[in-house]
Amino acid sequence: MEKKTILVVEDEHLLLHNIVSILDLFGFNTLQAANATDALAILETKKPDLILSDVMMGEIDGFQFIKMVKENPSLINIPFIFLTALADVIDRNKGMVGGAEAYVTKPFSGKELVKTINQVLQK
Amino acid sequence: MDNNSTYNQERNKLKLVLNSFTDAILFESKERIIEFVNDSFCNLFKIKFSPEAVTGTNSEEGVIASSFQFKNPSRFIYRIEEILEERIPIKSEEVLLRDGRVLLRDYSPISFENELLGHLWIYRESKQILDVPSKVEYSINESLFESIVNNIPVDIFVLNAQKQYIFVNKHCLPDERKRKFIIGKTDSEYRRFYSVRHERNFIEEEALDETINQAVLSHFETKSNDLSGMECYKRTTLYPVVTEQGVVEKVLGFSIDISNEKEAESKLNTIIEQYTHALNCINDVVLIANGDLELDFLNNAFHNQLFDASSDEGKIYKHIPFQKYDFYKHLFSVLSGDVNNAGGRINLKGENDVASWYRYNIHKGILTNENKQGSIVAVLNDITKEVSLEENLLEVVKREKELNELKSAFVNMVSHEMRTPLAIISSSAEIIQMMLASGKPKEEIENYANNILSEVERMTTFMNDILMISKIEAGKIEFKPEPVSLISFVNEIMQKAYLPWKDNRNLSLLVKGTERIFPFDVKMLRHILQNLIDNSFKYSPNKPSPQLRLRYSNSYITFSVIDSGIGIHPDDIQKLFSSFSRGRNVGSISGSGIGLVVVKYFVDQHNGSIRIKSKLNVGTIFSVKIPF
Repeated sequence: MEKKTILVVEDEHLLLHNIVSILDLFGFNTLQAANATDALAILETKKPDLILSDVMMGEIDGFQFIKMVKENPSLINIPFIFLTALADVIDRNKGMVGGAEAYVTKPFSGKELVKTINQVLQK
Repeated sequence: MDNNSTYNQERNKLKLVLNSFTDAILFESKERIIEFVNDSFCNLFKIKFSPEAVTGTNSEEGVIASSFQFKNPSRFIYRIEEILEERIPIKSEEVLLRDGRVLLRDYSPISFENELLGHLWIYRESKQILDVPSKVEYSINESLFESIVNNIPVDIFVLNAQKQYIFVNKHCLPDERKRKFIIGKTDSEYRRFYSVRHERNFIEEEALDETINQAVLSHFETKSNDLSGMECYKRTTLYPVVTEQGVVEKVLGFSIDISNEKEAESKLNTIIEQYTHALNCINDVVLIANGDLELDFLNNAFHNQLFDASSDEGKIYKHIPFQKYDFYKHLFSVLSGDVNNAGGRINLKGENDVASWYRYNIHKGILTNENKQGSIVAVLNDITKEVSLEENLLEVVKREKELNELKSAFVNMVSHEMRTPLAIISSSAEIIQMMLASGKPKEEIENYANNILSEVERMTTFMNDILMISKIEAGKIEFKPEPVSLISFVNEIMQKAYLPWKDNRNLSLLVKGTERIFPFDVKMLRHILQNLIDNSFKYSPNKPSPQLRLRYSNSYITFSVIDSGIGIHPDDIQKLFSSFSRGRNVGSISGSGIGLVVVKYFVDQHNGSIRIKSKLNVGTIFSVKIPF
């Protein structure tokens, strides 16, 4: 089976590194961005199979980022998973409303994360 | 024979005397034989015969014979009979002759030792010539008209142009004698004899003058007591009776009893007073205005709260300016009948130029004037207090909302700041497990272990910062300055934590100026120094050691923490001291963004100031200046 590519967008450097390591260990290819701007730059040339993005980031937050991606016809079909520290209902719903397929709350277990990713990729 | 001549002599003397009188004199015996009559009498009554010839004739015949000379012959005859029957002395009774002359009649029965001898009649001409119907006419012509007039329960009277009574009906003067007496007298002449207190009639001079002189109708009201002593009110109307030439020759008057009317009026006034009083007791402003916007009624509240004394006019817009569009819009729609009721809020300046808020309600009024314009009743109640309470409430709610939003943001931030290190710790641990299982080199594994430790430290610092803020908020962090040597204090801190720091770099210290002992809060200053120095190390990894400089001048001390680290973007400098904000360039360097907020608070407690100078990728200087 072909290796899937995941674009990870996370502004916490250490966490970004850990997520990439986990995905690596679980057999995924990864692309990394520390913010939405860098992520959009990457998306111009590369098309990942899934985007895993933090919500609370610098100038452009997760909800704005997903909107911008979905506006691009060539990117509209890429599924999104939000990685969020925000636990309240409203924001979770915002994520779903924003077009994300799933969300994962921090802290997460690596197994839980990979399970969710596989579920979304199979849809 | 001698007696006879003496008698004749006496008689002649008497004749001479009596004949010299200008008044007409006649004496008749009780058998109606004329015993004596003088020349004047014969002349007056145009008797063709001499007095001697008439003497001894039957007076009755004479009466009939001369009756034609009188205006009312049958009346004249009847009256004589009446007088003779009554035998009551009469003085100056008017008798009208056909030719317009008026005679005055005196009558007296003559008795001697209780025996009637005869009747004495004296006539003389009256000074005035009055073309006046005498009462004699009326009593004889007791026609239907007259009996009606006399039985109507209304006072009716007629005066001549000289203000003398010429007719008075029974209701006006029930006493027949007084009715007869009043004829020919003016009101004041009559009242000289009969005091007003007992009488119900008197005529107001002014009104009478007006009617006579200007030939106009006049009215007046009088108050008196009726026969039973009850108070009664009358309204008298005087009508001028005018000849073809426009001269007022008579005045017709009638009076009606208006006591009931007066009583009703008085009761009505009492009721009106009652309701007006009630309206004046309330605090609400009540006004009634007509279609011309004229104020018909204002209660006391209006006077106390809104009345603009500088403008006397009774127009509404002198007190409620036309610029209050809504008010007038509502007013006109009620006046025009579009609606029965309209209301709203209005802000008005009352006395002393104090502005108040009123809730107003405009109701359709009951009355309509001749031009079919309606009226309105407006009620205004002062809601200034309520409005102010409302505004306060809105303010409070707004603040509550803001506070809630802040709380939410804070909770979110705390959640994020806790969950992120936790996510790093848990994922690091997982990776360590997976690496151990797959036999990865221990250097790699060690990195993840180190990450766990530093994240724990990060969370601890964060918790401490939150606790500090919470204590500050609760007022538990008191400013307690004590004069301690700053240099000793700084050395102590450096020994403990910064010689060396955990990356083995040593903080350097530079002191300028002479030390001065001054009071400062030890715990706060410790926090400031630790925070600034920690930051200087954190944000300058692999760069030369940071430096702490103390400079004493005359009135203050400045300590600066200088590093050659990543620097701060100029736009971020402003925001650093507000909550939760970190520089955009912090990248992988962990921090919560709360620390500097506390630092600023502590610096403020010392009346000091804090300044930042920085250049990206060159370094940063944090300077704190505290006055002594």
